[in-house]
Parts: sequence; C-alpha cells; structure tokens
Amino acid sequence: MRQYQKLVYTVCIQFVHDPHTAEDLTQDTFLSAFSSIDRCDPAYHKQWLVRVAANKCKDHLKSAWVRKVETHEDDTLPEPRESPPPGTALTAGGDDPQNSLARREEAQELTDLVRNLREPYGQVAVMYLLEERPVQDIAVALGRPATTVQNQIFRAKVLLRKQITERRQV
Amino acid sequence: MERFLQEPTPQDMFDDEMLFDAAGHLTNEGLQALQDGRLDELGSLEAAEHLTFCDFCLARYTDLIEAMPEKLQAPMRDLIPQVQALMRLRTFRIMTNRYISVAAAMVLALALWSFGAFGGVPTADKKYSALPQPTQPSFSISQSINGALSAASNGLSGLLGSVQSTARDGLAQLTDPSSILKNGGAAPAKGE
Repeated sequence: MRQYQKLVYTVCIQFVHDPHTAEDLTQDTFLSAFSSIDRCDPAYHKQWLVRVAANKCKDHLKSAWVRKVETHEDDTLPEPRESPPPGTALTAGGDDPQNSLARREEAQELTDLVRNLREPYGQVAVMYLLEERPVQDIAVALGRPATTVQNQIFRAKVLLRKQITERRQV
Repeated sequence: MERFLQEPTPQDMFDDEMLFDAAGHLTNEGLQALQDGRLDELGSLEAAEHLTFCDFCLARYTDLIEAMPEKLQAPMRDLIPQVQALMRLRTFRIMTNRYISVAAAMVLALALWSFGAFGGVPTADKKYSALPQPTQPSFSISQSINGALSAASNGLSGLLGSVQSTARDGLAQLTDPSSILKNGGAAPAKGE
C-alpha cells in the first residue's frame, strides 16, 4: 500500500487541487480498493488504483458542481425569446407566417447550438435532444455507463442554457 | 505541492473546449493540463468521469504519471497508519456483526427447542417418570396435520363410494326386467 501512496495522492491532488481533500480521497481510495482487491489482476494494480481514485474524485467534484449549479439555476432550458406584446397582429393568429417563420428560425438556432456542443456532450446531446433516443440506447452506442450519460445530459442542458442566455444579452 | 496551494491565474487555466477530441477521448494536451493542475472544476470533473470508464485514456494517463516520477507528490503526513486502523476497525465490525448474528440464531434455536417447538425432544436431565407413557401418543404439529388430511381423504372417498353404489343400484333396477316383473308390470316405478 505504501508504494502506491504517492501515486494515489498525486492523482487526487491533480483533480481536486486541495491537499486536505486529496488526503481524504486518498484514504477513501485505499479503503475501497482494500475491500475488492481480490477482483483485480496484480499486473493492473496501478491502473486500477488510478481508476478508483478518479472515481472518488469524480464523486467529490460532481457533488460540489451540482451544489453550485443548483443554487443558481434549475434543470430547465430557457423559455423561447420574448413573444410580441399582446394585441399585436403577431399574437392574434397562431398560423401567422411571420410567427411560424420566427419559430422555425429559433428551432434551427437551437439545433445548431446542440450540434456544436463540445465533447463529451456533443454526441450525447444530439442523440438525446435531436434524435430522441433513450438513455440506455445512447449508453450502449457510446460505450458509456448510463448514469454517466444522464449526468452528461444534465450538464449539456446547463451549457446550452448558458449559451442561450449569453446570445440574448448580445 | 506549493503550486497547487496557489490559485492559478485565468490565463494559466486550460480551455475545456480542447479537453476532448472528436472521438470523445482526452487529448494529449488535456492530459498534460490535468497533470499540471490547470483544469478548472468542470474540466476536472469531465476528465475524472471519462477515466472511470475509458481504458484507453486510463492507460495513457497512468503511463504519463509513471513517465514523470519527479511530479509524484507526497501527502503532508503518512496516511497508511490511519488507513490500516480504519481497515482493522471495519474488519472487526464485520466479524462482530457475524458473531452476533450467529449467537442470536443459536439462542433463538435453543429457546424454541426447550419449549418443544421441534417435537418435544427430551433433555438429559428429564426423569423417565416425567416422560409421557407409551400408551399416550404425543402429537406434533405435522402429525396433527397428517391426521386431519387422512381423515378428510377417508371421508371424501367414503362419500364417493356411497354415491357410486347408489347410482349402480338404480341403473341395475332400470335394466333388470325381473325387477319390473316383480312389480307385476302394473305400477310404474316412482318417478317414471
């Protein structure tokens, strides 16, 4: 265990950047590893410990990030752009060509934003938001765990909302 | 380690847009930034999440760490003694829980046994005079159930037998011409 202490601690501090948190996560890593060490081939002990450490760091970072996001926002996309004021010609008829054209433009704009999302959100967002595929299908197609896909969809929505808000302010 | 205690300036931070390539793997620059502590909170989360399921990037990251042993960092204190103490405590708790469960099961079994729930097995210190006489059969729950079931079965077979014999008699009366002649052929049988 002692020979891997530096390795695990280095991985933890590279992710969380805080020595005290990194120490706690190093201890958690060794405790988790100890309970299932028989399942790992000794040739892969280093990689396995790095993975357990990364998993512990992910859990820590995720809870911190979700707490930060939830205090400011919720998990909904922003409402469409402001409608024209009531009583005007645009709101009188739902089938107004000008109105439907505006809606089509907004939909196209949103589609472009989804398609231009960076990885690891781009493929997930296209499959989920545009192709409307279920999470399980996406997980199989991309070789990612279903919970990871769900978390990435959540963060993709947050990124999209941020981008839409920034565009409106321009 | 001093490097991590200082807040990195915004220009030092790595751009998350370049953390992954088009195939969804971590870029070499991204891994280097991770090793240098230049990823922000979201970038670190994305990289950690990716390493939990991607064997390819995990191997690259492990190789990168191993290639630069001078970048390995030691914690401020030795963490192993505390980890070992926690492991011992955990093992002790697991063992204690097992022994407590086994002891509770044994106490319960002994209590049920002494109350005769398993058919009244005599104990060593029980006197022969206190034992039931051979003429007085002792019934256990299973014996009672068996007796009730066999009595019900006997009753049902007796009822079916009597129904069968009644039907057979009636049929014989209808088909036997002598029985009609005995009546003189005058009065029909009741119900005809």
